[in-house]
Amino acid sequence: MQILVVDDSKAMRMIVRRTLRLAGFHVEVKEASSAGEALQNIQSAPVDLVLCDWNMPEMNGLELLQKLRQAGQSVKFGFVTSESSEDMRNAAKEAGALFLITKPFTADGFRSVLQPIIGS
Amino acid sequence: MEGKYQAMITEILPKKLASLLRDLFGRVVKVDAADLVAASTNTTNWMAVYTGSDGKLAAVCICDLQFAANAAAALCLIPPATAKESISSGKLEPSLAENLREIMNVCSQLLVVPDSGRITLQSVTSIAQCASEEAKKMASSSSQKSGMKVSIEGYGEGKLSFFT
Repeated sequence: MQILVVDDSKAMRMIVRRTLRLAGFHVEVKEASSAGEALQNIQSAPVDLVLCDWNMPEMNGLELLQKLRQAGQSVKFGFVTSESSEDMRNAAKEAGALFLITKPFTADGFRSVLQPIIGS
Repeated sequence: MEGKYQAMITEILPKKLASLLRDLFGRVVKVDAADLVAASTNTTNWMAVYTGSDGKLAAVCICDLQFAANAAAALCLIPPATAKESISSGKLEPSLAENLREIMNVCSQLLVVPDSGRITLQSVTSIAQCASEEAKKMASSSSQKSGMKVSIEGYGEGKLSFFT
């Protein structure tokens, strides 16, 4: 299982990586610091799951998901974001996201959302 | 809307901040009422500026260097000594400043009240570098404000204030 963590904050990428470990997921984690970098990475080397921030400069997470789907990429995709309004949840679902995790998150929270997707 | 903000900022926000920081740092965090952090530009304080869905100024957070350094270090388990060095030097080192930005970004959710729409972080700078006169004015004259002292287990204390 390969997971791509997309966040313009280096600190948050590190925290997501740490939380995955604390939640008991033994997965390979890759990182991208922008949506553009993530798009390139996924197109050149597909991953199993994308954990993506919403608010990022130049291209936001929702736009990244839409571009992936337009390009025929069906990679599993979820948001990890500090905002989680009803409108955002609806937009995420409509674009094909599987979940939206709100920052700050806990290992337990990650486990309950990601276990059905990643497995043990 | 003003009434909702007043209740949120004085009564609800300290409890929500404690819960949010506990989850963010994965350690004990205590939040108590405290004096407001000075909005004066001749300090080492830091300022976060938030806008609403309409792009207009919605809120300001000012924190002292102690909060900025200790919280930023706690976020990524950076040794407390690094935070102490920043505090002693009077300047937040770049990696801690980046972490502070993420903390302030996550704090944007604290400022959302029903029907208020989205609250988005626009900038986090030292108060001397803040370009928004409107934000500085809000911090010095807003009647809706809350000052808090935050104690982070293993790191130390610092103060921050929210203005809406």
